[in-house]
Amino acid sequence: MITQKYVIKGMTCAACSSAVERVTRKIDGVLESNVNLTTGFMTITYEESKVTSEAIIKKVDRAGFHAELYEEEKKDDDKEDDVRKMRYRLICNIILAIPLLYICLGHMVPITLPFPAFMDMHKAPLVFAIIQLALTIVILINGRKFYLVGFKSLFKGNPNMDSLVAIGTGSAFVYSLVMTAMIPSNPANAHNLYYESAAVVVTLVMLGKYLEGRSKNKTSEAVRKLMELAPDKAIVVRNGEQREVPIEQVGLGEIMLIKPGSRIPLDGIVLSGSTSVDESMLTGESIPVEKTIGDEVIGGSVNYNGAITAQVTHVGSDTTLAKIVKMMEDAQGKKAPISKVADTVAGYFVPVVIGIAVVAAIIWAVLGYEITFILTIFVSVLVIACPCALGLATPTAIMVGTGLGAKHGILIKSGEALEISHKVNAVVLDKTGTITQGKPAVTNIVSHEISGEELLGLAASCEQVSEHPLGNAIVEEAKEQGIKIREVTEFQSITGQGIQAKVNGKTYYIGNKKLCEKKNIDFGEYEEEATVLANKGQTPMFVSLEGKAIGIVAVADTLKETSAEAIRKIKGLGIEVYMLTGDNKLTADYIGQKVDVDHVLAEVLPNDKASIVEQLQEEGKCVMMVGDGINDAPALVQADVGVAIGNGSDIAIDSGDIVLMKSDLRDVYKAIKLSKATIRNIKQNLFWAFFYNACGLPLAAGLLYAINGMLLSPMIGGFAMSLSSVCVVSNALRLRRTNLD
Amino acid sequence: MTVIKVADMHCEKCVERITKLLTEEGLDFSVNLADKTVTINGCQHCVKTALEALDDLGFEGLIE
Repeated sequence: MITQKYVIKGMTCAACSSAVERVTRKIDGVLESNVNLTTGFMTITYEESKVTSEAIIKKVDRAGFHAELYEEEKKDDDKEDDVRKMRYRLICNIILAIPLLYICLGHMVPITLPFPAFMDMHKAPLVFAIIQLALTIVILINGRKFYLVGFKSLFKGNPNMDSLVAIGTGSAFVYSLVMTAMIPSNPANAHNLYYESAAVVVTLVMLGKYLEGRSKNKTSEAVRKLMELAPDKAIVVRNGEQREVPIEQVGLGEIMLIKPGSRIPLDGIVLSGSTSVDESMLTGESIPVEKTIGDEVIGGSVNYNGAITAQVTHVGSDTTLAKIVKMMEDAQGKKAPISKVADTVAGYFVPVVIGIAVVAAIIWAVLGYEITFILTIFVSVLVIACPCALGLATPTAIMVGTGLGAKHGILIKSGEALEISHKVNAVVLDKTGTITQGKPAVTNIVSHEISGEELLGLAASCEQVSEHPLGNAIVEEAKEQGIKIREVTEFQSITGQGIQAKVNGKTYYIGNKKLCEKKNIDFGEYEEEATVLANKGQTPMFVSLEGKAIGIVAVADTLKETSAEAIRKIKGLGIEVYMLTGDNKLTADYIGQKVDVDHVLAEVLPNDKASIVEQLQEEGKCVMMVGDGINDAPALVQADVGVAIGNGSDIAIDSGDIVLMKSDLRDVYKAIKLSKATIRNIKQNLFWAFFYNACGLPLAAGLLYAINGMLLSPMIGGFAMSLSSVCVVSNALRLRRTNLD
Repeated sequence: MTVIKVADMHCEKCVERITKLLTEEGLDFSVNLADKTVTINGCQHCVKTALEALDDLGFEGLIE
């Protein structure tokens, strides 16, 4: 028996997915077949002895659709395998490059290093050269991809970074090979070997490619995790009977039964019962939302404490979750790769360098010089223009920059994110969990009858067995203040309204206005005070005894201590700050005013977050989105740079380009500052790389020889190239001292 | 002329699939989405072929 997954194309509605199920289930030997219209997948279990994969595909094709065996997992494995292979090759090259550098450059250092006589450059020049050749051949074979891709692009007239590496290192290698062959006739040629230049450049560029490959491998995990939120099955009521059926078989208007603790299978409207639902995946709001008859429930959210029945309002690709998944896929698809500066430069640089080398060689040939002289000029030009410094300019700065970020708890997933962050001129902050703590805390205690401490103690005693986050906030506050919590008896939770509990023989009610009205409790002067608190974005809970309110405990999602300072600093960089929230305008404005953001966008539906980011981008803004919830994921992907708060959901973290390990908004400011410093550093590096080339190329082409008879040998060219690399690397290392505060 | 009721025919995509396969089978027919019917102009053999084709498409056809 085998279970396989197929991608089904051409399905447009629930009838299509049902048709595919029906035709496949009829095949003799098929035990089970389930089709998910949202994901376009068919999972089929069959007996291999009776059915073949081809027969299944043929049957689906005859039904008017197209089936393909799903190979994503295999592809993922292949990708991981590629990165693993890259790592082995890289390690192998590093191990080989170390002795190669020792052999080549060991005799150049001021102190005498131990060196075996059998491969001494002066005593055994041929062995000295052949050992280098052997080591280099293995290194170049490991890096053969650069030659295959580089030369192919070059011949197609579209040279890229790989072409630069291929032509530069290839010239050095071929020249060294010729020199090695000439050693028996003239041992002095052992001085003209550039094997180490070729090998080290290839190894360093491979290191950059490996790091790039590793980060790319992590894409698409976010979408997969989102899809996993939707349950596979739903309990539906058909003809008065409860039946568990695959989610794809649930139709519009059907009644589904949702038990406590389970995930809500599809979007719907509550028909009976009441409960609390965790909709954090949708709203980012950590406080559960009370649901009662007539309220909408969203597929993928978690039903906490009550059994409800709901009528299905959306299925398949129409569900909120499916739309979020689609938005993420679209956004990922739309995200264009940022400018590949080095490749663009290479596009002009390579032909120009080759042109200079050829023109110089022709000029000297026309002037009647010998072939060895012409070859020296030709190779000097190519070697001095070897793109080592140019290739190192960006990756080294990015490596140091990302390292510095990591030291500050800022994980930058790609060099691209670090590059783009410096251009950001609009930062969009999600409110809950980003600007605020994301969990409720007691903010106000009001009582005219008893002391605040006494009221909190009473409320905490009543709420100590409650599982509601608002109740937990009260208990936590009491514990923090060291207030004694008394024994509670006859505790009862009133869903959506509050609790009833007995402490010291007296019955207390704690809850919202609805509870007080239901129990005919006299609000007294507390009603007005509750309205004032509610206007400040707090949730007031009345504590009442014997039909009369005796105080209010207000709970709210509190601001993080550092949020206001962080926003002030970000604004100081000339960046506009937006706050995005699903809260009502009153609460949003209150919070926005407290942290002094430039723009408050309230009552934003989760689906609209990505559209708002897109809208800002259309206005020409470079947008950084900061969020922590699953519902922020599409916006994080849509934004030019997505920043996920580290203690947020896994999906948000996967979707973010930058992850903040601490839940501190000041790190957003640090990330932007780091990006600006890194880009400045890259520009300096590129300047040095071009400066060396601009000075070195005319010299290598024989300009000095024409003036005063001095000829730049390829060795000096190689040294100049190394010097430019050292310069670039040293400058990049300077970045480590950047103060990000 | 035989009218076959296809209750699961919901959309234009269904019509397209039915039309394609019945055409491939060389049948003379018409499809009506509003009535959810397929009308076959031909002999009993043609009707049988149409019912088999509908079955292959995942539909259950009932002769009216």
